[in-house]
Amino acid sequence: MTIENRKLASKNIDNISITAYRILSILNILLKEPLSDHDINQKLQENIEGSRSLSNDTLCIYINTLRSLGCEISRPSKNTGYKYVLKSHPFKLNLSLDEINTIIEIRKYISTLGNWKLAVEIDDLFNQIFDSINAESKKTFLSIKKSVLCREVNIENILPELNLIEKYCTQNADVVLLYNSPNSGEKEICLNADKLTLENGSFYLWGHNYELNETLYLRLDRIKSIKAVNIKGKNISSRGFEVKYKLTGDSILTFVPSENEKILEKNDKELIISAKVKNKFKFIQNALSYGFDCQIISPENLRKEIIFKLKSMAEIYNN
Amino acid sequence: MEKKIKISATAYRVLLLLLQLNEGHGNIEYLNHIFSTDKYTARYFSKEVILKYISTLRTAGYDISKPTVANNYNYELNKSPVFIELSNDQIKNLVVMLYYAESLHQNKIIDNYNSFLKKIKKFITANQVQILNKELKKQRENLEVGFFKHSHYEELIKKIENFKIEDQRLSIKYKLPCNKEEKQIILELKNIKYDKKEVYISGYNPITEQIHTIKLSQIVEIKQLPTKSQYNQILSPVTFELKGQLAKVYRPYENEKIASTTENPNKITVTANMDDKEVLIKRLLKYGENCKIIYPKHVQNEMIRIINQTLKNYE
Repeated sequence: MTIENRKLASKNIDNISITAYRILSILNILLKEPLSDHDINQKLQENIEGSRSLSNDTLCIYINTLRSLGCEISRPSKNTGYKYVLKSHPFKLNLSLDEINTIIEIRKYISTLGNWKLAVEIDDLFNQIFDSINAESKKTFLSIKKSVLCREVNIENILPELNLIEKYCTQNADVVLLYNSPNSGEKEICLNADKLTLENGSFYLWGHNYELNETLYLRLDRIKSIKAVNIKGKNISSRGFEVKYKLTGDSILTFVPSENEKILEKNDKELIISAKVKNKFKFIQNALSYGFDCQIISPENLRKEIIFKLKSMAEIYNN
Repeated sequence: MEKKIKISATAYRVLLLLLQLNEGHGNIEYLNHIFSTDKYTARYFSKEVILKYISTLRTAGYDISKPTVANNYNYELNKSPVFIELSNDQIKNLVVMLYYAESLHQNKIIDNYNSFLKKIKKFITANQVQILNKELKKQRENLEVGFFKHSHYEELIKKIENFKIEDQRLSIKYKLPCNKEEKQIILELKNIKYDKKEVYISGYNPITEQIHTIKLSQIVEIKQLPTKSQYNQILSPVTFELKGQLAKVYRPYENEKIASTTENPNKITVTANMDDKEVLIKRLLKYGENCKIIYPKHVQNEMIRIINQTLKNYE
């Protein structure tokens, strides 16, 4: 979409440059569509009262004037149907460094909140705006995005599957996926689809795996294909096992129970928390990140697993 | 010898004016400065000539604002020659982003976003501007309770933002919940960070020569010192080794890079710069026995101390 050319009456030409007016009209015409010499002349005559036909030399000067400003206009040739084609122009959106930093900072914050739907929509908005910004802004945008959103998975690679998988989650469908596991290569995994999340810049599909009797979360960009779907799957997200753990120190203040956790006891020095653990790996990771502020109380097998892990961690520094 | 291409000098100047007004705004003197520094025009023009050029643009359909006291006698293009085609959903999200910008409570972020939005308005149709304005009103009325989750820190964030502009060292008193006694730290402010629950400030501590992060919720008192920040130190990076599956799938964080890979795809070395060491250690703990801190020694020792002390919890 562009500015509409106005019809210029001869009484209005007193305080304007008529040549510049004609060239602006040509720019507006070419922004809409490619045109031949004849088409341009015709449109100018329609727009400017009493306008005479322009010679080829004059038209060439006009086109060169636009080129000198940075418009890339191809020569009329057989390939272009003997039309002038405006390939690019400098009248694009110019964003300042501060503006680019700000919009990327907001996008980063949205990602931090885990709002994957909004993150996808904002990326779509950025893509649309990106096409209309000037070269310098594009360069700055890409460089800041690469640095600030360095962990964000490129959504374009997984976008077609995203809506489909979301639908399966809503339906709690059983899905068989071909998954590219970094450990064991490509393999089929069956899941009762539960939810989609955005964490640390990656999209994850969560669901219950019947074989392991555990909740799995799979990186969406590692899902190669969806092999089969059974929408009559049952929602079995309530499965998991109970863990009791203690938090002390600084972690007491920052602790906010998740939907699967509840505080059993609370005093100035410690919190006793009960958690329904659906994925043991993720729970252990979180427990470790608390450092010495966290102690697993039960079950015994998980205590032993954490102790074994801590000993292995200590061991690597002894070698 | 370069062939001289014939152009219309007057039309060139009018187009140059259009280009300038599309990218920003300016008064007659500023626009004349543009002409004088352009390689083709390279001269000044009378005010009447420039007004004639503006009149040409207006006659051609360009909406150019009138210079007034309120706009510092600037000329500004109200609509660009080309439009960005945005869907109604995309316009809605421009508004959503504004409210997220506001929820961070930093004047700089809000001002920059409003400036971005003002530019976008130039590049969308009048009808879409109307949709955007309606959406601004509608969404503000319908914001969820608790959307501005950091609002209780608004005053403090704005205070810290001002400190950052003034770029002076800060003296911060803060209190950890496990320890009732107050701690004091000198920081050269770097930035304000946000996550789902908390707001933090991070800055360079000239005494420990480390970056420290403090939660706003822990700050008891913050005041400016009369010393200018000299934050130009090159911080010692932390190098760690990752192995196993983690090494294969690891995506470096901001200010991190994979320093080396070996022939063994199950092992990589990562260098992390400018990070808060405590936050980094907390993250590296998650990686369990698949991660080993290599350098520097004091960070490695801190990791060992945390592991051993955690083990003591189970004795």
